[in-house]
Amino acid sequence: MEGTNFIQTFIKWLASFEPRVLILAASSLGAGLAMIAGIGPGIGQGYAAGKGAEAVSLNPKGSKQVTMVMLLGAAVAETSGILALVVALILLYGNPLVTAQGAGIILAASAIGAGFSMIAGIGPGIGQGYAAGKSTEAVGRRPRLQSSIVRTMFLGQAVAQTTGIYALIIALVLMFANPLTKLL
Amino acid sequence: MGETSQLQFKIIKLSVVILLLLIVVSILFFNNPMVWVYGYLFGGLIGILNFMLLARTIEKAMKMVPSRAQMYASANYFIRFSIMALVLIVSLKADYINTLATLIGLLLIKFVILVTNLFSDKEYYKRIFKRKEE
Repeated sequence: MEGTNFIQTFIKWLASFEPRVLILAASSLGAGLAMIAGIGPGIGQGYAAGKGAEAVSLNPKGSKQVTMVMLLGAAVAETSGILALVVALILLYGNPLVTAQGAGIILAASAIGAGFSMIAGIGPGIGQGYAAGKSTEAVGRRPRLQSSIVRTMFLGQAVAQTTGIYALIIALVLMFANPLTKLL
Repeated sequence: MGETSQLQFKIIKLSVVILLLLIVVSILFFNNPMVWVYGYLFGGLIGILNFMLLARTIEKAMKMVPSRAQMYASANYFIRFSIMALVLIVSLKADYINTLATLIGLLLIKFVILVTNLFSDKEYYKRIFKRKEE
């Protein structure tokens, strides 16, 4: 029962604050959580660059093709980082929850939830970078198949991006049209 | 611009064309078009500059030892990430710039890359659904 007591005490403690204060504090947490997704493209692009450099060292003649594939792959791999950035900055500078109607604690939880959901952006970031890295490796080995490899890479990257977009949709729903606030 | 200059030029050219189209559409159909126009211009131009910066980073990274290239590319990604954060903060703070238009401008290059490379060859899709025995 001690655990329940702690939870009750914690909720009572939270309820002692004004709803607006709770929402603002939760938004700060949410923004910080969303930014964790920025790690993904960083790791992914780093991996791709490492593989690209390896491919060039193995086949210096194919350097131009490897660099081109790498550039295209790395540019796409950045997308989930930008999406996470957008959610974090909306929570900080254009937060719709501050003026929203509803129970303060639900709105505060929505802000944290929006940030949490954007952590999913790590997956597409790393995955797309991995695809870019493997493609540069493949082009280094067989430069003649460049166009086929690039197209396959983009197909994979586009599919990998979908989970990041789902996360963005959930984050935006939590911020702008949370259905749970209407259930009270 | 180095080894990838032609590719960069091709992608940037297409992005500018789409950007101009978006600007024309917003001038014709929106009530307060200048807010959108500024957003597209701001986001689009920074997106293009970011792409050029990425190209420079990659061209340099390709000449490095793999482990160093990895570090260099990751570090430069965070620099570009900070630039984008700054751009989005400015567009959120400034009333005369539409944030959605800025975001569209920033992501336009990625969209152009995906579309031009994915849908450029119909034969590729035909091959996916073709049976091997045929």
